[in-house]
Amino acid sequence: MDEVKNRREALEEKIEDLEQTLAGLKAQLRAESEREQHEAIDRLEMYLGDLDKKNSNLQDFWKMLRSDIGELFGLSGDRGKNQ
Amino acid sequence: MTYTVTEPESPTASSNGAQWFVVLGLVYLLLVAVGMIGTGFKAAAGDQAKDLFAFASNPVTGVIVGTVATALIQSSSTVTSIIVGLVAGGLPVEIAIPMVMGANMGTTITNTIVSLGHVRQGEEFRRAFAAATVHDFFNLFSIFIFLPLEIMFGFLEKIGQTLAGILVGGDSMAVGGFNFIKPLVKPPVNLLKDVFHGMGANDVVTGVLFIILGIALIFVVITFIGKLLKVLMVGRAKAILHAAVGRGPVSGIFSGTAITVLVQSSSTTTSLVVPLAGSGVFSLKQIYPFTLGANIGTCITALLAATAVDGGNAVFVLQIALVHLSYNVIGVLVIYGLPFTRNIPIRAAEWLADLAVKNKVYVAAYIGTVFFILPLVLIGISQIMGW
Repeated sequence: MDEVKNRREALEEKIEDLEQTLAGLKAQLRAESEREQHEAIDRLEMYLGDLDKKNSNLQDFWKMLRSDIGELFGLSGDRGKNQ
Repeated sequence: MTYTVTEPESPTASSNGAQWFVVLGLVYLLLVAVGMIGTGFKAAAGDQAKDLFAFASNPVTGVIVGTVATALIQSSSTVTSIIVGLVAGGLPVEIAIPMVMGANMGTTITNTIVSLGHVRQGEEFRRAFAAATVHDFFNLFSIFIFLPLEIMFGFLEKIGQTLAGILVGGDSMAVGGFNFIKPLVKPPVNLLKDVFHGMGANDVVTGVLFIILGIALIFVVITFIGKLLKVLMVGRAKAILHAAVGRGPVSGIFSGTAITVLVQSSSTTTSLVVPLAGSGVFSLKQIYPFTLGANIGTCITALLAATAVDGGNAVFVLQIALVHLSYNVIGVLVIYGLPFTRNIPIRAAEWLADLAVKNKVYVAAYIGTVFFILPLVLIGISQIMGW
């Protein structure tokens, strides 16, 4: 009977340890991801510059679209990519 | 975790001051432009304003007019300012409400185009495109819920009327004490009117010229204000974003609102988060409330424009500006507030983004259909059905 009790207590202790470790790891992960977010926010000026590139975005997209349409209808995909 | 905000390399204080002075001048010109549209519309249409906009009396057409105009101009602030000017000139509020809803929808095209900048990076594009279209789906969903309710009960019109009544103290014919800007706006409008009359133009010609000049001026002014504020406010925007990190969705909504008020452009705010989501640093769930805040923040332009108007229609102008604000706040409260509707825009955006990565035809079909083909088809149907 005592042996069963001891084993249970040991398991409970182990679970508690693991839960504490897990909570610690989760906190570390959250801190790491928040650090990344702060770093990304510091690059905001760069992203602001990207807002003025809408025309080149559309041109890039148009090339990809032509290529995908070509693939969809069994035409050569290269034609669209090269133009 | 504490974080030190790195201030951007900013221009000197004197050049900053000069830029702020320019912004102030541009805001003044915006108010003059809104006043010009209102005055011009009154002069050109007289009591026939309602008849002139009879084509948009069908609410679906109104939404489409707002959507397509905003998608083409890529600025909801410009379109809502023009709507405010038209209401000042006699456009009935019930016709203007669906147009405002459409302006909300039309502005979402800008961040979708920005997300196309990631088109060559598969997974990055999927995340960026989802971050852009979550705003589209939220606004579409909002129209599907609130347009029928507005048609049936006119609830937004009533809310706007009540709020405008409270703000102007029940004075229905003039904004009175609330309007401290109209004395500043009126002189240049009157001066220009005298110039046109002096050149021999009659009331109708003067009115039409005022409308054309007013619309052009709003377009130019909002473009320049946007460009200047982006530079001037980037440091503040970064500080707001830093403060919002790790603080949950409500903080996200408030920071989206605050940044949009600062830069006077919801499309700038929603476009800024596209690369943040594309890089995978922010999840779609974290970006989503921020874009909802942008919807609320953009209402400041119409409210500002409303202060430029005097006369009998001033209360209606304030009403439409408050309808715009109420529509966006209620939209966030209902769609984001209710757990079973909250994730619908996210699921729709993720579904579309998965398709977009597989084939770009889906992207073209989506943009073409939502912003251009569907509106044209709906206009055709409404003409055939005689709505």
